[in-house]
Amino acid sequence: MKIKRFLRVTAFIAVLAALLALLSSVLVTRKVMGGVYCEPLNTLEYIAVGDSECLAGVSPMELWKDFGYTGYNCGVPAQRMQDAYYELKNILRFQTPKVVLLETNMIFRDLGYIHEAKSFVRSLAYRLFPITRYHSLWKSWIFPKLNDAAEQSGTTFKGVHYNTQIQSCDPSNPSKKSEYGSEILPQQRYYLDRITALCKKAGIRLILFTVPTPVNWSPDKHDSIQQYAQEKSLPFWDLNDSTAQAGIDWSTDTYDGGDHMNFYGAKKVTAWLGRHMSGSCGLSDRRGNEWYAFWNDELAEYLDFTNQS
Amino acid sequence: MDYISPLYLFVFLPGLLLLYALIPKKYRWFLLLLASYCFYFLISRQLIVFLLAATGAAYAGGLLIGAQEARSSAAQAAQPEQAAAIRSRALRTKRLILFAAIAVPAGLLLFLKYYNFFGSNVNLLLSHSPSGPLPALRLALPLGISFYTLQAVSYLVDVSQGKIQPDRHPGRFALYMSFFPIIMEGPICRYSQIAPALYAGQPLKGKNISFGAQRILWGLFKKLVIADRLNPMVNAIFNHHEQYSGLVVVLGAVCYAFQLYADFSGCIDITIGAGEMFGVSLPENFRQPFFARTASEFWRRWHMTLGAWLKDYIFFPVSLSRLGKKLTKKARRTFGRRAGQIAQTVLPLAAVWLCSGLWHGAGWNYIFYGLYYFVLILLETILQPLCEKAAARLSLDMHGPLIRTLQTVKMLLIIFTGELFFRANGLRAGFAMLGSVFSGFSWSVFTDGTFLQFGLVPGDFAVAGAALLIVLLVDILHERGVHIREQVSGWKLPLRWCFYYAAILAVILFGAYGTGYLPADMIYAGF
Repeated sequence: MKIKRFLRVTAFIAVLAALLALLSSVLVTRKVMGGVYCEPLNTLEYIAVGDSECLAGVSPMELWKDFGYTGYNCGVPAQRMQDAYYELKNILRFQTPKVVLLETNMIFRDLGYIHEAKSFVRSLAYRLFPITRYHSLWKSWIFPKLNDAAEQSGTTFKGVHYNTQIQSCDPSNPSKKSEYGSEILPQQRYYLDRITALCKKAGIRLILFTVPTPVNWSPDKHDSIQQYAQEKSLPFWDLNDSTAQAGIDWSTDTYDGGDHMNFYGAKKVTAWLGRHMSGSCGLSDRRGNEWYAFWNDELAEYLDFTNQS
Repeated sequence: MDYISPLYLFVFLPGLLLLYALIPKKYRWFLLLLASYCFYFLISRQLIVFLLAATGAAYAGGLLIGAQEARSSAAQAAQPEQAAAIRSRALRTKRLILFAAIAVPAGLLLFLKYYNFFGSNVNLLLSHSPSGPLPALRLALPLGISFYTLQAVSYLVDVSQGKIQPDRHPGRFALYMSFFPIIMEGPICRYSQIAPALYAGQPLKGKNISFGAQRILWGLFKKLVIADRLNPMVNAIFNHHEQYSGLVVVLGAVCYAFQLYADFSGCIDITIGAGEMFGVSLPENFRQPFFARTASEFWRRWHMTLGAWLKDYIFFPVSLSRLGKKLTKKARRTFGRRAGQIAQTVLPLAAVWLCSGLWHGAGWNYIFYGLYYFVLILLETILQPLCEKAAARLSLDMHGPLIRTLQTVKMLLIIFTGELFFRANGLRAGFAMLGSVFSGFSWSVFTDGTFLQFGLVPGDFAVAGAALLIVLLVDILHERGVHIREQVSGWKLPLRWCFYYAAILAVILFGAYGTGYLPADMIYAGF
């Protein structure tokens, strides 16, 4: 009797799992996943990953405009290392970048064990059954025309968070300081190692970089990353050490008192990254390539949107 | 970790069930206690000391009252000629112990929840400025304090009245106070309702687990598909009410009433389902409240365990108090029998509704909310005979469809208006919103895209509307006495499984959770 009941419960769960897997494979298309997944296959040469520092600090359209590099900003607010790893792994199914830029602020994100456990269960469900992550896909099926009116502009200009607000800061004395420590915790290190191994296996050059941020940065954090980079023979570009070289002006280049770059700061950070990537990373200038003409169409939109045209 | 987090639903609860099944029966209560304290500690950390203090005080108080009762009985048996005097002395001592024991949990609740509210009002009264003799303190409100305090008080009063024996087992009592499914939002349980089952360590049964899981699924449907989906719109309207008027405010109030029902009753379903899995039958907290015909009936259907608690521990004690009896006598003498009967209920009703309002929160809008129902219920009591007379004279059937419809419309208006004040950011905001209903009233808000500004797309409205219809249908079936889970369990396996899969997929696909949604707190956990 007990075995029969056990088998019945197992069968119920197995059918449910199969149903979710089927729905995931049928319904969760690249279009549904959106963002970087909507880019034509194998057209991106670099991928930037990280948290909101990355999201606000790197503008792929600027890199296209000035250097002709194709890439995508895959930063996610409050991103955790394990999510970044699985996201990157998933992106590599569709893209073959030469460079991965990893913004280092998320390496120090310590949410505590209970939040980590919650996030782990959630991201496990997302990975096993992507339908649980993209479960709102039905929204576009109901009154699609009205949906378009309700939703804001669909274009994200290759992922960057565009913000022109200004809230200046005194970099020597910012109004707030990050509460996270400067040690790379074991779990974060584990996923950092996995990202490093993933890139190495795929022949991708992994570059650790830090967007300037007086709020989140500290010399100890720099030392931790520097040590890791040396161990793994990875380049580490800490723009906090190069703010003058990058031309960062803390009275105009941040929208929240030194926590994140605004559009003006992002332009400078991106230009700095472009200069350092050119020549050293083997990226190609695709601006004259007809295959990439759609980038110019989006650039025109971007320039118009950012009042640069 | 709350009741709708994947960590709770897919790790904590199944893991605990597995451990519960594996360990010997006599240790199961200890596992539940350990799990309950772990659950509480993970959410509240050091604030667990307040739960421990309330538990300790109520436990010790119960033992002392029991000891006093035993001493008094022995003394009365030894000296029967002085029994009355001994009884009277013992009663006084018992009362003293009762008040002292209640003072600990109730004092903590009063201080932590109401100090700043009363302090700011006293300061305003004394000096006409917010800064006065009572400084504002940064006080953290422990999770579930409003619920476990009431449980402690009901236990102590029941022990002192001899309804239950004091619990000599500290572990069993601690489990009654902290049982993890009820610690966040209730239902408010009586000791005799759950303590024996919690301690019994009953074996897990397939039917209990299956029915419990179904109840949890139904709760998730209400919470995720309705309450959390409506949340952005309700927040936008209530938090920026000055930008809206007319129909937008009306729909904001209506949506909030449905959101609150779906949220609270959904979380209670999850709670009851979890209890059911462990063989613990928790009391129901809702009985189709929107089908109520009168305000008093509404409160017999909505948050029933709070209503029952207030009736037993506020209404009756105030009614039977010296002051209550005195007022009743005087009223009967002055106004006659009928008016005297009504006057008899005024004082206890006022106490009940003042406590009800304050229990929900330290704010004037909550006090207003309580007194709003006090006035309505009093009016109902006064007007009921007149209405019946009028209906008889007009040959109207009080239970006929016309009167039933009118009563439903009246009650919906009462509920929506009450919830508007309940959710408003303060009493002034509540009145401003109510006033704004009558200005800027235009049907064009349905066509000019106003409702698309709240972060919801038409699909959200369609899904929330369809889900509400399902809840209405289920409530109608429950009202007719249909036991849906029993009926479904009688279906053939393929059909039954299809039904379960459809329900699970409905929650997964149409729930408002994860990417693109702001997490919505459980509303009553904030009280």
